[in-house]
Amino acid sequence: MKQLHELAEDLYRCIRCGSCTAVCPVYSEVKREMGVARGRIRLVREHLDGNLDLSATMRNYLDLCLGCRACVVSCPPQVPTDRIVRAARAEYAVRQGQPLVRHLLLHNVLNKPERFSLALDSVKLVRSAGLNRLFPKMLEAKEDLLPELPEQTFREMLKGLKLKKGAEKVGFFLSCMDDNVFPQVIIKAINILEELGYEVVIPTDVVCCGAAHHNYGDLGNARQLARRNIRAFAGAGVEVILTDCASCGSTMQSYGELFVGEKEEGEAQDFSRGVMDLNVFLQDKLVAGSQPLGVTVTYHDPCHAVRYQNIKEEPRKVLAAVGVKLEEMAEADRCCGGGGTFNIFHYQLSMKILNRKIENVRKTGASILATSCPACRIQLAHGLKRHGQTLKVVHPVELLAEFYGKGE
Amino acid sequence: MQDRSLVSSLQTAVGRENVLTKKEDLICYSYDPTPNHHLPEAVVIPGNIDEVTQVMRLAYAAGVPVTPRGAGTNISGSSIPVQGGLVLAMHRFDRIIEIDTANLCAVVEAGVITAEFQSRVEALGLFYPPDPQALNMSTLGGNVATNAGGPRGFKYGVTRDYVLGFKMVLPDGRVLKVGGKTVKNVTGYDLTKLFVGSEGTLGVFTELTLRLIPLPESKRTMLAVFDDILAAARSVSAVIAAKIIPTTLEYMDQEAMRLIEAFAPSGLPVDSAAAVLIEVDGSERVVPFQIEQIGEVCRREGAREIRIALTEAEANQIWTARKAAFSSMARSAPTLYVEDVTVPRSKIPEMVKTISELAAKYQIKVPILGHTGDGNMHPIILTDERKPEEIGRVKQAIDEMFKAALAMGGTLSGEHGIGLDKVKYMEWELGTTGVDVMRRIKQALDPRNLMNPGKVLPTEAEE
Ligand SMILES: Cc1cc2nc3c(=O)[nH]c(=O)nc-3n(C[C@H](O)[C@H](O)[C@H](O)COP(=O)(O)OP(=O)(O)OC[C@H]3O[C@@H](n4cnc5c(N)ncnc54)[C@H](O)[C@@H]3O)c2cc1C
Ligand code: SF4
Ligand code: SF4
Repeated sequence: MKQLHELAEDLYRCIRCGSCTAVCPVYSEVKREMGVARGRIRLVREHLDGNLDLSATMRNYLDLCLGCRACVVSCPPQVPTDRIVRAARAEYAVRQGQPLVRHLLLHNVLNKPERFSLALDSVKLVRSAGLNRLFPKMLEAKEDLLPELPEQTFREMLKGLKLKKGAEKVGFFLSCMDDNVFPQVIIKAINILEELGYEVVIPTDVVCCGAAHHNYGDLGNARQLARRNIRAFAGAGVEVILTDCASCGSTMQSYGELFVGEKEEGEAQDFSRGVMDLNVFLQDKLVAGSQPLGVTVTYHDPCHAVRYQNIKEEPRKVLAAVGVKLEEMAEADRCCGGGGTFNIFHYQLSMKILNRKIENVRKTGASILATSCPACRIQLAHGLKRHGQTLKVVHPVELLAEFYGKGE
Repeated sequence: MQDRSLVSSLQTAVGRENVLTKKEDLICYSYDPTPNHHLPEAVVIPGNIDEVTQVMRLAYAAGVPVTPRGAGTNISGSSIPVQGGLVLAMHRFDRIIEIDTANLCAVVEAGVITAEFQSRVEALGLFYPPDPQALNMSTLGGNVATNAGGPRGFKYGVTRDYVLGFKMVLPDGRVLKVGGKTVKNVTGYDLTKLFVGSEGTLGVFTELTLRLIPLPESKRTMLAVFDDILAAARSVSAVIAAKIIPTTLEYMDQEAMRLIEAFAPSGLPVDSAAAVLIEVDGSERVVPFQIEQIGEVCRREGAREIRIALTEAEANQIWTARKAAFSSMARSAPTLYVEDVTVPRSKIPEMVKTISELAAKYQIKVPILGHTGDGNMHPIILTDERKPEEIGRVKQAIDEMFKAALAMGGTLSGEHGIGLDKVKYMEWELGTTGVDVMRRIKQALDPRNLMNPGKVLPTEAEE
């Protein structure tokens, strides 16, 4: 990954035209210049020019970036604001470390699968004991971000699962979120892949993809995690590594960049090239059936799919194969405000951004909201609940499974 | 800000959270798209006209300059607080107060985003034509303050033609109300025209009454390709002589097309000298005939190729290419000087020739776009603000370009305004009497010279 000073050339290309103000989800709520690419870039530029220290205020402003890349795609000179913000955060991390809560999250929770499960288990415990009602109002709302947790994680389920042999092997990356929160998505993905004749290989010694570490500039841990995931797939004998999580997908596709100039570079690049979103893999392998599901679905494009991986038509093709009626919402590719952990650290602002998304969803009249990233899914479900909406949120592959009669 | 007591009075006036004084905040309000920049001492974000009044009174009493700011998209340096003081950020004025379909007008607050307003009125079958190409981000207050215009200007005019009235807070804090919902109004001096385009130097717009017209039924788009620019200019004149007034006559020269093709390939004829994007709008029955007729006129005048869009998708494709021009230029150089010299239409070929000669003489790259209908040319100088020697050449070229435009009976600025960058040329165009009259108006309204000082008019010392 490029360091901040290496991005100076990109940074100077900002012509301050303000086009980003028209598309930035944060700006449209805060309406202040430090809440948009133009301001963030200027702050970093003043820092590189020696006019501004890496101040706490600047750090707060940079933290208000979702990394959604809406600004980048509409920026005339295509200034990579998301990269600049990440590189600046990395610089802060090196010089000042991480703020305490974030440190705990990055080092102690997200780093180890068992810790992540443990953290979620404690959520379960708190809930079952009714302790959450004792939380102050704000905290309660945040705790509410997490949906009902399943009885078993996927890792636990896997022990009782018999994976089929097949002519061709594909790898499947076990994301923390799906493992712990949405194991049914993985089960259904496996069903579909097996139905299509593939043998699914799921290494269980994988760890968090490192998206949050990447995002908050904790590059040491990001590399550590990347190495372990690369190693986990080393002996699997697969060329393609599928994922049903847009954030994991785009993060793992950038492993190559994490090791530029280092001895692992080649291996990391090979790994990154193999990573593929499940929708992309499935889109041309499906045959439309004769009995369409009689439901109306609308689709939310995760930032990490549509603007990091250029995935737009593929999930729609999957939905078309299912035979649902797709009712496009306005601004389908506008960020939901989840931003990985943005919704935890900036709850109020995140909810404002989410309100607009939910309103767009509501206007479609759909009964199902599909999306391909568990982080968006959690955020969207939270928003629907806040607004008393009853839509179900699913991954396209779940509808597909239902269609193939592989639902529960 | 040095003056702590002023800061605390401002906080009382607009609320603590709406007065920004941290260095990081000030940096974020120190720039606009030009290379100019200067830190304000505070950013004040008022929420209603009373708050603006209080801020102006406080600032005037303290002798502190005030620079109004909409979206900060002007390309003349006019929203930069060059003398420090306060930046008055107007984005909280974001309400569309009324769309009056019976009287074909609307009342809006000054901070409403242009495109948002347009889509609201278009949903009602109405039309607000002024279309500065920054309309997705610019504010209506900024548009009125700069008298912004755009491609549709040739047929529909510019912002000024749609301002029926406004509310403004004067530098001393008094509220001025001008005009109203009537199209006809000859009560006294025409203050509307005076204040439109005043670039924040005479007061702060808070509310605007804007004229609307019915939305045209349909439109058609074509691209005419030419091997020489004279033929292009002749065609434009011939189209107008044939009594057709297109909405849009957008000129692109060869260099501009090459840049577009390099960054966003869209099938433009890069071996031709120029292409003109032409659009007509109006009733569904007339428009198809007009576009054919324009095609014939252009062919007769020597167009090498005519591409008439048959479907909406084809029309979008032509527009996408034109719209990619700016981003292609932005991708090819870190600094752009977007000029907007304007000459009588008949002088366009001569102006184009002058610009290319200047580009060669000063060894700079200057692709040209332009609204050929009204002679408004956009030579865009591609450069790098970090290279002082090159910027020196750029400035010399701009000097000569303005001289040439004025000699042809043209003007310094068709739509972007004077701001900071063109102040020194004001007397070239207006003469001493012209500048003097303007200065007296300014002094009458702003005797302490605190309202966006340093813009539009040269200070006496600068002459
Ligand atoms: C990519 C791009 C394309 C553009 N294309 C065009 C074009 O085609 N045609 C065109 O005319 N311009 C164009 N512009 C310039 C710019 O969009 C216009 O000048 C626009 O009107 C500025 O609006 P704003 O809200 O950004 O105002 P600002 O830039 O914030 O301010 C501009 C001036 O208006 C004053 N001002 C702002 N609000 C108020 C208020 N409420 N009361 C009093 N004074 C106020 C400011 O003090 C300043 O002097 C373009 C700019 C860009 C970046
Ligand atoms: S759109 Fe790009 S160039 Fe324009 S202000 Fe934003 S970051 Fe800068
Ligand atoms: S990445 Fe998203 S949140 Fe960050 S500045 Fe760009 S548009 Fe705004």
